[in-house]
Amino acid sequence: MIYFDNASTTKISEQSLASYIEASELFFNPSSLYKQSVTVKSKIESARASILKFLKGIAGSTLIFTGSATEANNAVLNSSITRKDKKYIISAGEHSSIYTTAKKYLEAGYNIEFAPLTKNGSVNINRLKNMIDKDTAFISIIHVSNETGAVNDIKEICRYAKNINPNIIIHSDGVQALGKINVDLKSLGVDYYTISAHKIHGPKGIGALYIANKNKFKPFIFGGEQEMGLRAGTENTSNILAMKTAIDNLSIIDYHERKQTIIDNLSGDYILVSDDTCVDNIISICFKGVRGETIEHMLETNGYLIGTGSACNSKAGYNRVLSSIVPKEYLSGAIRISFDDEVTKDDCKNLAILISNAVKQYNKRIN
Amino acid sequence: MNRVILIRFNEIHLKGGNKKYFIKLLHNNIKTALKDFDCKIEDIQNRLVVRDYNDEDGIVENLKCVFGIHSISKAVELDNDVDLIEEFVSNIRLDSKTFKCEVNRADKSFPIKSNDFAARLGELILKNNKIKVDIHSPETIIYVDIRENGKTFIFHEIIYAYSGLPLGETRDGLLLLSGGIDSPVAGFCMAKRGLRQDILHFDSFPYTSPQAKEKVITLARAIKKFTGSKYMYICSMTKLQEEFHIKCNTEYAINLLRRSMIRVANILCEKYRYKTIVTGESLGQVASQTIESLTTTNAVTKYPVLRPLISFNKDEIIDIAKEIGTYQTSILPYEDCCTVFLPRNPIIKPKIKDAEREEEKINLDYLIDEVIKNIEIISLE
Repeated sequence: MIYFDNASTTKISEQSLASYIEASELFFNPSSLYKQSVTVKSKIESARASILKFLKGIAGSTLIFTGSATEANNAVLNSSITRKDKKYIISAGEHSSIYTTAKKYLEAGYNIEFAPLTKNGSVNINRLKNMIDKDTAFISIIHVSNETGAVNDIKEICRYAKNINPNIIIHSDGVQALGKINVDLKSLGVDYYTISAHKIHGPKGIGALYIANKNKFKPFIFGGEQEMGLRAGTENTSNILAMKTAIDNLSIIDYHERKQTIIDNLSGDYILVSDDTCVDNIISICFKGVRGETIEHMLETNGYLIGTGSACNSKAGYNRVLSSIVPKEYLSGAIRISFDDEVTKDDCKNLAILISNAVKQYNKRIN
Repeated sequence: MNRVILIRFNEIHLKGGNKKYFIKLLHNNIKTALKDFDCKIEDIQNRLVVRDYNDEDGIVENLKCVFGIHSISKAVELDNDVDLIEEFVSNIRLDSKTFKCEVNRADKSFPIKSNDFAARLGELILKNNKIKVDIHSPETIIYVDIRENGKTFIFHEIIYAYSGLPLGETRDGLLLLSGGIDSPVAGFCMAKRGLRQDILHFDSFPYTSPQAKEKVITLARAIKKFTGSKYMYICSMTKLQEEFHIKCNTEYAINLLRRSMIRVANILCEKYRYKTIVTGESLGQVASQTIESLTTTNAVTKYPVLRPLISFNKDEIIDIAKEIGTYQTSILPYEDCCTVFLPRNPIIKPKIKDAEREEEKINLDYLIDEVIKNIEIISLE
């Protein structure tokens, strides 16, 4: 099996798994008073500090561990969308944990605006700037698109928005950015930033939210005083320590050659959504007139696992992000290739040939 | 005084000489339906009684899915003793504003006639509750059923089950189950007439997804409490569909596919001794369900194809699907094998000869053999 669906999830690394298992022995509740608990608590705090340092958080900032990045994103919207007389902006390319939640607020009568995308799936920054005004209270823009790998200029968005109104709260979902591009939160200037462990060879069931100013954050889950009173629930020590290890082992890898190999060996009538400005480890391609899901299953029988950019199903509807940037006749044929350092250049070449053949076969049999 | 669950049946009463056989069948089916509960099942004349249990509501829920049961009541059981019955009734407290008592005296040795006893019991209730008698439309009816076996059952609620006939001992039917709304309902309807069925599903991987297959397995597990299914056969129709698509007139694609499905079902009937095939077709619902289309599929079967939904409207089918709990699974958005390779203009009035001529363009026997060779059998137990 050769795995090309790392934007969906990654295999836990040996190091992260070892940390997880080792930490499982530390079963003591970090909130208890005996020595063992103090040790556990101290390891959690050290992991928090280490991750904050990695992310280059500003002085006074903190990080809370959550059950997932989805929870972290929900928590940010819950904390920030509070008044019906203010404007809240998110991009049309947000992950569903932001987009669907924002839609719920829209239905509840809040003024939510959606910034449109450019052809590669990044936010149209000029259109976004035009939307920001003195009534704007909150902006959430994904750092790297999970669908196309497009990189948004969060630094410029923060600079521009804070210039108009320094009180605007800015969040970025950095789940696909972490480990793929340099993340320097101080330099970006965000108020909140979301990360996830399972996209970087860490365990599932844990995310984290960077909070620049904890006084502005209103908790989403109440109960005990864990996580500085910002997120109740007994700490998931194993996941936290395994996440720290996953982050310790991150290094930014140059995937350009592998991406180019895939592109060079593709044939057929397709649109390459992920252009040169996107991260190199996510490639979104839309083939004309085929069903991405069928192509995915054809490859699956050859031992290659890829993702579809679309449910390509008449009942489920087309992929939300791609449907705003790709012509309709190409939408059902959306596939997403996303890889890590495990795959070789030869794997990439083989994958591209298999995809091209599958598309050819599909066209021969069906069209 | 015991708490019991009283089970009544209706159509079985009409079975004359076979009545005993049907009651035994029903008894066994109830035993299977209640196998996870601690309880005893007892036959009394024209009734079955469940006793010595610990989960009354759970038992009632499971009994509602047993065909052949007309209705169920949670009851109190007393001896046929006037004093005992009157003492119990005088302790009944009702919240409703109106009531009546209904006495059924199957035990003719009971000393007081039904109407007289109902009046006496009514008076006791009136004495102890702020309530009025309403003979015509009372809010509450207190039923007193005095049986020949020396036991009286008192209850106030009749919970209706699906009636029908008890599922047979052998699995005689083969239900063609797609991922849609109709076929689970068809299986339910035939089970209601006592037809125990196994399940046959056709998939078209890679054109359909593993999730679509999982959805159908979920549906199969959901209806097995009605259909008594034990096995599910999954057949891949991909090669056949590809061949039809490439070599045959695409207008006939669905018709040819349906004929192949029936052929596969016939082979399984022969091999595993099923006696009939069940489908969820409804006349005129889609192109493959016109009289002409059904005629061309019927032309390839030697086993009867039962189509219990043939006269049902879609909304009637949906109502039953909701009632039996399959609707929410059926509407999950996964394609089934009939919706891939869908021709733009499927033929509405196919002819048997034309279908045969189309089939001659491919090596049909070989392809059907391949389907049978690669069959996947799943145990639903």
